[in-house]
Amino acid sequence: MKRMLLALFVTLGLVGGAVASFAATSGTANVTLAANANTMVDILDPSVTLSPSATDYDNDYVEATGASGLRVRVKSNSSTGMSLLVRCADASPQIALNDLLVRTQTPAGSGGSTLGSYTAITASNQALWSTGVAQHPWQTVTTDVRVRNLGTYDDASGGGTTNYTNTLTYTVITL
Amino acid sequence: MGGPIAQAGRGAAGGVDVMEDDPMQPMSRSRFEPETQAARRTPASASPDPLAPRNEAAALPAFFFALAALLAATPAGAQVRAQVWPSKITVTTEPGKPARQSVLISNLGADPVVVRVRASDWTLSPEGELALVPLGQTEHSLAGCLSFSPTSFSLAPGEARDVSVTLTLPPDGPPTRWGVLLQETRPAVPRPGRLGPLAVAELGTTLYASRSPEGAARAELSSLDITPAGRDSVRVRVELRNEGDRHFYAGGEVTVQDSTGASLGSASLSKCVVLPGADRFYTCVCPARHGSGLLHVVASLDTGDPYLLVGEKTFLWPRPGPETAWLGVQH
Repeated sequence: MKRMLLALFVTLGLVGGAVASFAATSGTANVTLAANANTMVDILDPSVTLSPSATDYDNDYVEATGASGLRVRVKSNSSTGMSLLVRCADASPQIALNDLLVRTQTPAGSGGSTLGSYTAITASNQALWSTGVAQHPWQTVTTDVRVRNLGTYDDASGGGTTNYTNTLTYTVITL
Repeated sequence: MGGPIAQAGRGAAGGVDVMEDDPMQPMSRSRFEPETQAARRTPASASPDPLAPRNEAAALPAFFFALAALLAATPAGAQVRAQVWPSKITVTTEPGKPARQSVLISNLGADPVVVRVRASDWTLSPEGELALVPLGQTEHSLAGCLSFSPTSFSLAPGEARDVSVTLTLPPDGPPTRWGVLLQETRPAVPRPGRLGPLAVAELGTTLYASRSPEGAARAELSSLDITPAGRDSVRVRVELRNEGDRHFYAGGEVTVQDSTGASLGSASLSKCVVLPGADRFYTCVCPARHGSGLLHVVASLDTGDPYLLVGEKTFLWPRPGPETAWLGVQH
């Protein structure tokens, strides 16, 4: 078969008796599993809407943290682990990149690291979360999001709300 | 949207051979039902299962100057769920001789997606910090050595498709080069009535291409440092250097022993890649409780060679101060 996700080779070594009177009654079988690294990503939360309150305007920031943040699930059988990176690649971001901060409170995997303090998003990838070992079950990584300098985002002239939207790109890499 | 070398798409569950119940294989739709989405959510306490659908948040007071900042990952109900296989490729090839590989992208979600493929370089700090940089900007770039097709295509729910990758190394320049093939996956159809752009997931397949055989890697333990980590542990930092022409993977274990050789504690060193001509630092915290006087730290690293790379250091505990050191190779 030309292509197999997991190539399963079974080699049967039947031991034949050299002497007819001692015919083989046992044999050996080698089973080799040739596994390849593969990776899955699942963006659980399509979006998060931050609706600032009067207090938020007073603080000049609004945030969505913990369970209210953006959740992404990842898993990989790579023995060297994996890295989850994040960026905002919008050509014309509606929220200034310097005003859009991200972090994660999800603990790093063994031998990995996290972006644990709020950091301004950039157009290039930043490491958000990583693990140094294979991640067999799904691991949910939650991104806390903060938008600062709220006072600089004007409302619509007719009143009501004005939406400012950026897109976050999550990249998963195994080395 | 197929590229110049279109290949037949195939169902993730039906077009490839998979082992049943292998969690790392492309999943059939029945095993991987889409989850209900909710853009606005209640606090976690209202929904004990973190993956369970979350209810509409309590309505916030409508302020005249309300700012709705939407950070879109995908429109509601159009979450991206995808798989790449393999996510790591190493080829050894002769100069000028193309090496061909396939990378399978699977759409495991419930909505059609568009996949765009591009290549990038990456760098790795000695501490293991990964950075993606534009193709052609590193000394070991695969720029000019890498071609792939198609570069963009659509996938229906449950569908998968191969990207054909060709690596051709020149006779000169770095003997080993590396980069990453990035498969950007985004919903094909924006949901009406939703504000904001679509969110994007990107899966990488790391590529290593080398003219040098596997034995061309040369691992050297260059340093072993010990510092206190609290009252009952030590922080051990191991520096590994690759003096060879080819990358290798190394991981291992650190053990703290007393003067009789009895183990006081150990810690593992995660397996990771060590690039040619580069250093790699491993750091771990190892328990040393119940120990005093002269203690030994033994770091053993498996670099794929028949021999373990072993470093030892003796220090005075509880006030660490290196006394003697030995770096070497052990069967």
